[in-house]
Amino acid sequence: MFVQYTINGVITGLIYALIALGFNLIYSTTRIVNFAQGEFVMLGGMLQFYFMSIHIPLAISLFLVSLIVGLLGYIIQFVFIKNTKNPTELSLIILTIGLAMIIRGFTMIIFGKNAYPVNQFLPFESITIFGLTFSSQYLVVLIGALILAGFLFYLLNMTNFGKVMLAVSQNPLACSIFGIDVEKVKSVSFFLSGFLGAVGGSIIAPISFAKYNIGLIMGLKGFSASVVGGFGNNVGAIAGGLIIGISESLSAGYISSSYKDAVAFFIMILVLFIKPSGIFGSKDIERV
Amino acid sequence: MEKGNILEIKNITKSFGGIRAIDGVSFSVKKKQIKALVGPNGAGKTTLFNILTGIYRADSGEVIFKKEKNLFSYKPHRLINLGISRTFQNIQLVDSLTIKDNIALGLHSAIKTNPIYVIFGLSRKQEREVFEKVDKVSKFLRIEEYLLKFPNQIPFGVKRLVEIARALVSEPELILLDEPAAGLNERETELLLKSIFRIWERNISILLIEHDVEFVTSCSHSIVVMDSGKKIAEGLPSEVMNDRRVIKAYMGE
Amino acid sequence: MKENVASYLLIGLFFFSGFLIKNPFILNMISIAALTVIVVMGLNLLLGYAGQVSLGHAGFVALGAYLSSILAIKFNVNPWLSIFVSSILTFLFALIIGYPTLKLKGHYLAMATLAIGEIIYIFANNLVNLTGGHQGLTGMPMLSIGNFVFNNERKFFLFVWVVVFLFAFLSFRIVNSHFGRALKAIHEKELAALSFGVNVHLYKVIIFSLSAFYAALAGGLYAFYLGFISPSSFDLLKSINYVVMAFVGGIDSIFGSLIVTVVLSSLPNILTFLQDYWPIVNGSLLIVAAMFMPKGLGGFIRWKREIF
Repeated sequence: MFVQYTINGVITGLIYALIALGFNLIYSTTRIVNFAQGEFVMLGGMLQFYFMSIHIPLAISLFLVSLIVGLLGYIIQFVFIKNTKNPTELSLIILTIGLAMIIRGFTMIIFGKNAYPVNQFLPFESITIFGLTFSSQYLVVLIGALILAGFLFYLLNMTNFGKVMLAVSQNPLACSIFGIDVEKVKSVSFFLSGFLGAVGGSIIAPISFAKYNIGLIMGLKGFSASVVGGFGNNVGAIAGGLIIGISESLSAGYISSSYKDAVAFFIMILVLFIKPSGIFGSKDIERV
Repeated sequence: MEKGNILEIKNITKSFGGIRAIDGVSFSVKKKQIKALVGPNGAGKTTLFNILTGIYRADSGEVIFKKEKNLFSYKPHRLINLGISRTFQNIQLVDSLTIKDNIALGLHSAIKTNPIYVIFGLSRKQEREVFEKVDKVSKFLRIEEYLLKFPNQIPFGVKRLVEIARALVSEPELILLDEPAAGLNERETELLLKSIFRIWERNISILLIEHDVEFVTSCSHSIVVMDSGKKIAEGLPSEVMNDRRVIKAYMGE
Repeated sequence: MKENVASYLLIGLFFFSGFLIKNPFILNMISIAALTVIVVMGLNLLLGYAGQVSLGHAGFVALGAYLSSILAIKFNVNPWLSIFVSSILTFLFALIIGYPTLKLKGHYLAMATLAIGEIIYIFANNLVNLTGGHQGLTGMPMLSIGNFVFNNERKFFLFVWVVVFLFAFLSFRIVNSHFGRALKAIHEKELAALSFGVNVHLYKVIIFSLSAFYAALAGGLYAFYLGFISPSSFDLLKSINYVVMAFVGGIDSIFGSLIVTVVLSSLPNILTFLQDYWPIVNGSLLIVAAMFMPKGLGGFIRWKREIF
């Protein structure tokens, strides 16, 4: 059973890692913690359900889902955050919570309060490894998450855009003097973050159902993953996601599934108590 | 500690990453002296100031205040109790408080407080005493007409004086002025100079960091010049300003 | 007018309306609103004076409600004493949470409280032996003083507005003291506060714990008034509702929050057909307030100064 639980944990952990990467992406360019991050995941799942239910081919629906949610992220930065009169830490937290509530509210009105099952992406039901049987969607999540993470690392470390993002995160003022459109870079990081969340939500939906109200909790789990790994650190985000996912799954298996959600939060609070900079610690989180 | 000194800065170094912002700087401030710390941008003045006020921690060295008290063993919010007070270069007045309350903040640590006192209004007598002192210091700096205004309703030059009033109200022995003349016009600068002399007349030692050399030579007894993290000269204004190295630092090669 | 006088007058007005309103439904609705006012006043201290936000205040309300009920039901502790003890316990709990978290940037407290709120909610649902699970807990004795029992809506209504007055008084005493001045400095110019002797971290922790105390006490009264509690009254959306009320009312305006809280907490009971739209309404309110009026509605009122 241990192997089974661990593999289950790895799969959900990868999704948490994607959310954590989304947090990092936005935080690095804007210094904002986006409380609507989990709604991207929720929307990803809901839209995936919708497009599949009207028989749009998988590849196209996946493309549409990530484009729509990515654009939503873009709008959040370009319309709302950019035009906030007095963008303090507090008012931006409040703003993104407000946006989360609206996304959740509209989703509920359009789709209702049901949890929707989403079909698996691959034509076959299950796969068998080491005598253990898993849903074939596990394969999709594993490969999908690795591709996304790889793409992100390539983008941030190997491309010109990655360098621009790094520059913006360290000195936005200097960047704007040198002619970099800082607001655009910020908006693009929101787009990418929405994109990551949406794909994550859509590929996990066949395993966990799609429902309107999972956003804040998914966001919080992604944040927990991020804190455990070291907020702002992308390798840490993946490690944190796996740690949270696996411990959640093990405790659900061996203790009780009703306390499953509490485990992630408990670990986060423990880390905040003992080593707030996380495993791969960045010093940035401490106040001066 | 040498007799007659109030503050001794000994061999301070501080690095950020690989860059040495301050490299073995030592000097002292005498009792009842106006000492100035000058230097071009990036000389390390502000870093040193932040070390003195406990915001940064020095890599090595020590700062002795009065009776052999090493400042590094105190948390930033305790320095005021020792008798050291400061102003800020970028004005740090609280916008939602009146000038009166802003100055009263300078006496925060003088109020002996506990929650029960606050709830039953027993600290009101102390509050009244605080405001008497606020009145006194604002008369001294001639800003009493602004007391009931908010920071965004008063001229920039007055804000600087309010900063000084807030630092002065606790009757410190040493006051640290962080670029007090920055952004002031000629008339305001003159007013500031007068205020600084009047503070000095009250036996308060002053350490000021300043960019404006002209301003400094007209008001200080002794000048320390820093460049690229090092002290390059120290002495009377007239001596220091003719020092070859100082001229070089300011004028470039 | 001074803000405290205006607020006391308003509270007085509500108190005396208790003699005029005949409809028990409305009395009940405004009593619940009054309890919400207490929670929101605590949250205002945190938002407006420490510049921090808690997304788990419903969790503290739940702690107050469950701890006091369990003390009274299972251990036969006097109701008043059990409310007080559970509020103190919640205060201490918040102290432990706040001490490490408040050293970090603001979003850590927001996320940590969100997590705490969820954990409490999960435990309330699953510790069936103690809490009754999602079925809820019942059997709390009625509050009474001597032979006077708070056994109808009107009695409790009048009583709860007296409690609101006491908390408002406490808030104003804190806000208008040198303590409040220091807190405002912390919120706006932390460096200045630090330099003039304010122990910034300690003050933040205390104000956070105090706001948890407000919430727990309101929770305790809620439990004994209704005689029934269940986890659904303390979920995540409740926490966010409190933030909406505090922020829209004005982060440092007790008067503004008082009005906004009574209105926003009563409206859903009147406009029941809009039930599904409340998250959208609340979200929009937050967005508008955060973008265009960071001081909330209370920011538009200029009060006379309190201390001279």
